[in-house]
Amino acid sequence: MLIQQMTMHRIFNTAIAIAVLSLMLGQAGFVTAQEKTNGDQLRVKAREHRTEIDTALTNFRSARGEKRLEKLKVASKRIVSVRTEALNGLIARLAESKKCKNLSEAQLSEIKAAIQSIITKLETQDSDIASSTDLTKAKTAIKEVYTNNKVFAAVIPATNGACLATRLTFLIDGRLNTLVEKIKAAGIETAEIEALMTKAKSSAEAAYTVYLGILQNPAAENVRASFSTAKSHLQTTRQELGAVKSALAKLRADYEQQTKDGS
Amino acid sequence: METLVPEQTGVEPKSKSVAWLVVALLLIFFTSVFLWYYFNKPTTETASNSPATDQAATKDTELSTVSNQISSTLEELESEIAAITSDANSTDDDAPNL
Repeated sequence: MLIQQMTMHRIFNTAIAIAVLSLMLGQAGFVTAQEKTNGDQLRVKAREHRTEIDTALTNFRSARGEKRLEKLKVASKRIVSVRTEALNGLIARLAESKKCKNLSEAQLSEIKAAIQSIITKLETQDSDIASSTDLTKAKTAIKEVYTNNKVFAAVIPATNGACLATRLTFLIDGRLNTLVEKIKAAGIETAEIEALMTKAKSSAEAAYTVYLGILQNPAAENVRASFSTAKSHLQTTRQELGAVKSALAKLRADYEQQTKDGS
Repeated sequence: METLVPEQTGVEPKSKSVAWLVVALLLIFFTSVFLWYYFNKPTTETASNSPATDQAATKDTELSTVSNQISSTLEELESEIAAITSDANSTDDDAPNL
């Protein structure tokens, strides 16, 4: 009886140690400091170009007569290229970043398609503005480059959100599930933990769906509300994972007690 | 008589071999039983005597490490949610006055 208890205890401890250690050592895809820096670079770059764009727009405002359209087109070129460069960088990051490594082929494909569609739209807008002979129409078209694509305020954060959501799903399906299976194999009741994991996974998947929706239509009026909804789903996932952590700690404490009582 | 001698000398070594084999097998068996007992006995003693406290302490440390690691993951998650929210509130896509 004692030997049996000792064996079960060992299985339990090993299961927790292996699963949680590997989970925490970044195998679940959580970000390192270096990755955080790389992720931020996209934002820094956008800000640097923003100054460049502001200068180009100042030149346009101070220009007179026919020069105005010409200067507006110069600014427009930069406004568009900053966005296409950022989006191409984002596509490259999807394949390279550990943050996005848990995307399935299908997810990767749908996200890339959404981003590529925005790049195509931007290229068309760029071409239209370049060939424009009407200052008012060119102004409207430039405004649409901002408002119809929302590269920085919608596409990039939604992509990051989609990657985060899939990392959480992967964590639940992978590491946590393995841990629970090992605990279950040791004859310990895991129904409560499994219920929490199911809820956490469901929220993470819901967050992914919302982020993908934003990516596919970044100009939608309800984009801000969608971000709030997705955030709320992720916070639910976080709460449920916190509850999983507490349940694991309790399970272990109970088991420790049972073992002591038995010996 | 002469024909019986070789037969008798041929039987004796065979019986000896069998006897040695039996002895060797018995030796292996008892050695295995001894080793099994030797390596299992201390584990049982450890579980039922004072070293149990040390073992429990080690497991508590393990649990504490595990809890801290889960907490840090949850914190990372929180900071990433905050970063996404901050980016979503960016003014980089607000159209300028032209």
